[in-house]
Amino acid sequence: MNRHLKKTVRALVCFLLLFGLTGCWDSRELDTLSIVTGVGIDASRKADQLELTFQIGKTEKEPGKEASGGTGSAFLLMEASDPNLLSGMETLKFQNSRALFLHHNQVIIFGKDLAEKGIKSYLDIFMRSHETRMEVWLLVADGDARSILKTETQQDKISAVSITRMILNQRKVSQQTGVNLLNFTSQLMDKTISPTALMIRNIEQDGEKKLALCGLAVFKDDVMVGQLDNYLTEGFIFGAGDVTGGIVNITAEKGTASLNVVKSQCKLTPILSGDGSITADMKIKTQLDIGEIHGFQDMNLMQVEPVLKDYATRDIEMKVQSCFAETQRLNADIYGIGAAVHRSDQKEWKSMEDIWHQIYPKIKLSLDVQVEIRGTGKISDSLTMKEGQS
Amino acid sequence: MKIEKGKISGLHLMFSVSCFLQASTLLTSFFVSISKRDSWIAVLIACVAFLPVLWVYLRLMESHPGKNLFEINDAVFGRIAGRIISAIYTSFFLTLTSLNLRDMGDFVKQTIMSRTPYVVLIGICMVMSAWDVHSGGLRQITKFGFAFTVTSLFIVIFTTVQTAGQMDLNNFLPMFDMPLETYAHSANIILTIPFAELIVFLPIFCNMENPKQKLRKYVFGGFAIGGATLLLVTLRDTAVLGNTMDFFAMPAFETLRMVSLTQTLSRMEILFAFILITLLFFKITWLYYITVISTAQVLNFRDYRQLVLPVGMIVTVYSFILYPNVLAHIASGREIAPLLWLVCEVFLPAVTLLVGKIKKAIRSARPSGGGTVAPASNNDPSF
Amino acid sequence: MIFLIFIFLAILGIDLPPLIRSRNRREIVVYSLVYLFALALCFLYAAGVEIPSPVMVLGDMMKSVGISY
Repeated sequence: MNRHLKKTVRALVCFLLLFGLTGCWDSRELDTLSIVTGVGIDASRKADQLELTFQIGKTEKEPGKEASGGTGSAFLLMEASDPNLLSGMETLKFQNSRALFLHHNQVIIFGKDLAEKGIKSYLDIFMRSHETRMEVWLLVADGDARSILKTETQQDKISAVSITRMILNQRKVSQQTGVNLLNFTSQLMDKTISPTALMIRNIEQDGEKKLALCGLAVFKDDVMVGQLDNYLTEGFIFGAGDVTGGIVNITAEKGTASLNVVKSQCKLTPILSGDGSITADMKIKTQLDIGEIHGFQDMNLMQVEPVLKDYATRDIEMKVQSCFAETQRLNADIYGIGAAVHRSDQKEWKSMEDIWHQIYPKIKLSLDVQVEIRGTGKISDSLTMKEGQS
Repeated sequence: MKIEKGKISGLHLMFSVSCFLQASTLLTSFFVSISKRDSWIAVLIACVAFLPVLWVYLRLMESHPGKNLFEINDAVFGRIAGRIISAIYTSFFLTLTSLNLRDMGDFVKQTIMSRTPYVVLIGICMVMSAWDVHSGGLRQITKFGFAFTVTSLFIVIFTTVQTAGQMDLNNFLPMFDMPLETYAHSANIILTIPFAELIVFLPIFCNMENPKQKLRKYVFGGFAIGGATLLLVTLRDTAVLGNTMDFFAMPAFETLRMVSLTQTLSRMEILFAFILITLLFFKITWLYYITVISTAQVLNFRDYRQLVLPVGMIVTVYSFILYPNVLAHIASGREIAPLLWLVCEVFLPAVTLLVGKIKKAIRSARPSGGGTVAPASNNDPSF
Repeated sequence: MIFLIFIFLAILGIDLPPLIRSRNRREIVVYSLVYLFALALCFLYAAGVEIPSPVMVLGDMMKSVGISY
């Protein structure tokens, strides 16, 4: 009898434990959640208020709409206007039948107006809350964030997913372009590095609205001070690290060409000279492939190649120098030269750290670009070139 | 009088030790917020600094073969003082158990089950621990040490490989540019909170199956595995999180969140949370068991199993009243615990060893005992 | 509260029979002491009485003497 009782008690305790171990208390059914895929934060016309936009992915298909061929949008927007983020999310509770679920948030987009005022304080909730993650991508909208999140994209139903994919494609080219919250915070915490973030805007093509990434926003501390367009961004990525994609376009007298960047590596060393001035020594090694050639009649590839190399070197040099000059004009150290000085020479850095904003515009750039043309694709001489030869 | 009659093999002991240390990899925020990117240096310093402490523990065990911690106390200090010191140890073990229980509750509540009340979380853990201790005893608790250690090591290595793409080795530079006292402070915290908690193994060191086996190599082996895990976790977190590491309350968990296999198979930190909870559970069960044994020994109980449940209730309530809020917990962990724990973990055992040696020296120097015979413990053949 | 009473009665039910069977007076007394201590702590806490934490008290003592970081 006693053994049976023991067994029953044990079985009962096991059964009861199961309830606690599975987290029943915290269960949340899928249909009680609003899955937030994108968050947009804009400055409001009313002072001290924010315009918040939450893009929420829909989890159910709407019957009937698919058949008619029309695209019922796969997401909806929730908007709130509030002094800070958390109270904004709270006010949404009164309008929403479901709880906001931030675990799957893909992007945080700041409107340009707000970025120019400073965004540090708005990052606090994204770091503090357990529901948000540090891998969300941070973007600045060229305009206001709400219109970005409103735009419907064709290939991916939810525009935040589409934006994420665009960012990942950019990152395949250069890791320095798309920043997530962790990178941005890490850059903010360093006193001298200027953080950057991708910019995104709405463009109209054939009457349809589309999203396009359009360069980098440059911050000083957390205030946006400038913008690098696509040309300058290319200059930045060549000088900032490894590049594994992209195109170098050249226009020579006899023809034009587009060269694929196979791989580019950059080594940035700050050289401190005795009189207190700093030279940023950039050594860039690029490997290019010939993508497309126009013109160059009467020449064969052996003759064309040095021309291409020469023009490509000059092109890259110009891009890098323009970008560097622009950052010096904005007084924003986006390359992390200050951090490099800190790493190599700690004693010197102590005297330089606080006056880095005075030192940075005076840094000289010593650029050394080496270009190699590795491959030519399936053919070597182009049709035009072959015509001229025979 | 020995409370625990079960015997465990050397390997079981080794993996229990390593499991115990691995469970502390979650609590790295205590020292990471102080030594920031040089935390791994502090870990290395603490490893080296712990070796003499470990030697004291082992020497203590070896010079009184076959006796557990409380019998040693009685033998060295006499019945009354020995009991008092054992009682101090017991209250220390009680505090440790409650602290770890609280940590487990905090971890689960903040990351996974945020609406479940603390009572339920802690209660469930205690029920399982109590069952483990009550029905199984030493053998039961140590059985799973191997599986947990291997799984935990696998997870650490796997996440290190997966986050390798997000690591930036520049995060380690510049090195050694912090004032010396930060390294000392940090190493002190690592020494007392993860490492020297190994004192909880002292009561059962004598329960090895084969007393001829070298205690040393198993304990050092366990310490090596556990210490290496802690070092690897610190290195990984510094490389991935960089200067944001000291922001977070649980940096190791943040790193785990960054692991993503593909776009779809990302945000899977819940799987890693499983093993972390399991490790914490092992630690709590072990501490609970030691507390119960200590209480039984101090109160002269014959069978510790009767005390399991009341002690369990005391532990549960204690874990609620320990600290009024999280901030007090963090402040205490950073400022007070490193010094307070040192008393029980280092000072008392060292004093016990010393007094024991002095007593033996006095005894052997007395003419009535046959002065030419050297004290038996110094020539102990089995160790 | 009621839950606590249940738990403590259950503990008594599990632990008391073996104790009574062993007929060891001393052990029963010691056990009751521990049991009553646990009971008192739990009910005081459930009733909302502020129980000072030994760790905090020791910490304050150490801070006042100056031994802390």
